[in-house]
Amino acid sequence: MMGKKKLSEIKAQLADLSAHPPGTRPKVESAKGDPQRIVETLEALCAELERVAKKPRKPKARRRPAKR
Amino acid sequence: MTVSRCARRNRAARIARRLGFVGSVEYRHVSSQTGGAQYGRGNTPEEDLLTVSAEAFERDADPDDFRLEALIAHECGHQRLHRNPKSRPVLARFPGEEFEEILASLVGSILLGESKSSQTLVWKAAAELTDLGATVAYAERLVERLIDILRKLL
Repeated sequence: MMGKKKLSEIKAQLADLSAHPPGTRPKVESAKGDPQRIVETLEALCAELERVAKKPRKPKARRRPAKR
Repeated sequence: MTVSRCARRNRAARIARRLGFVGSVEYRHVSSQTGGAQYGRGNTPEEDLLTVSAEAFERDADPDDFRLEALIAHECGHQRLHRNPKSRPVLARFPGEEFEEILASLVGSILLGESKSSQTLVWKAAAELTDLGATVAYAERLVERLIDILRKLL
């Protein structure tokens, strides 16, 4: 689902967060959980996607003619 | 179905097909709680369903909001992620609606190619990463990295 947040709100959110140097940023109200843990999870997700992206596709199994 | 409803359905279907959606496209002339579009997974890709509501067309008409093609591309992103044999197990290993939403926006941005609508989906993904607690700088780096990976994956 796309969610209800308007594009203008998203742009304003990013601009607002960029305008505040690290450490002086206002707390994001919707921030979920521990940011360090979230970063670790996101890095793990990236690593997993990278791993599967590199994996060669399995060739389709050919049917052998039945032996008589 | 009235002419305008039929025209809306056809427009949504044309966009969805152009972006590679497989399955049925429906138009519902109701205000939804979905943001305007929703992907429903069937038993097979052909049985998948993309539902577009009146809200999507209201948002499309608003210059401060997402275009219809961005709304549909995001849902096509969900389909690609669920129907790709490589990404599907990753989604299962990283449960949580928020991760899938971020990835669906980035896949949608790839499907749209170089365009304004594509960029809006990248912003959406970045904003959702900051909602999780990431800094803007980290969110921007991660979004670029994820786009690179998803291009190779899909």
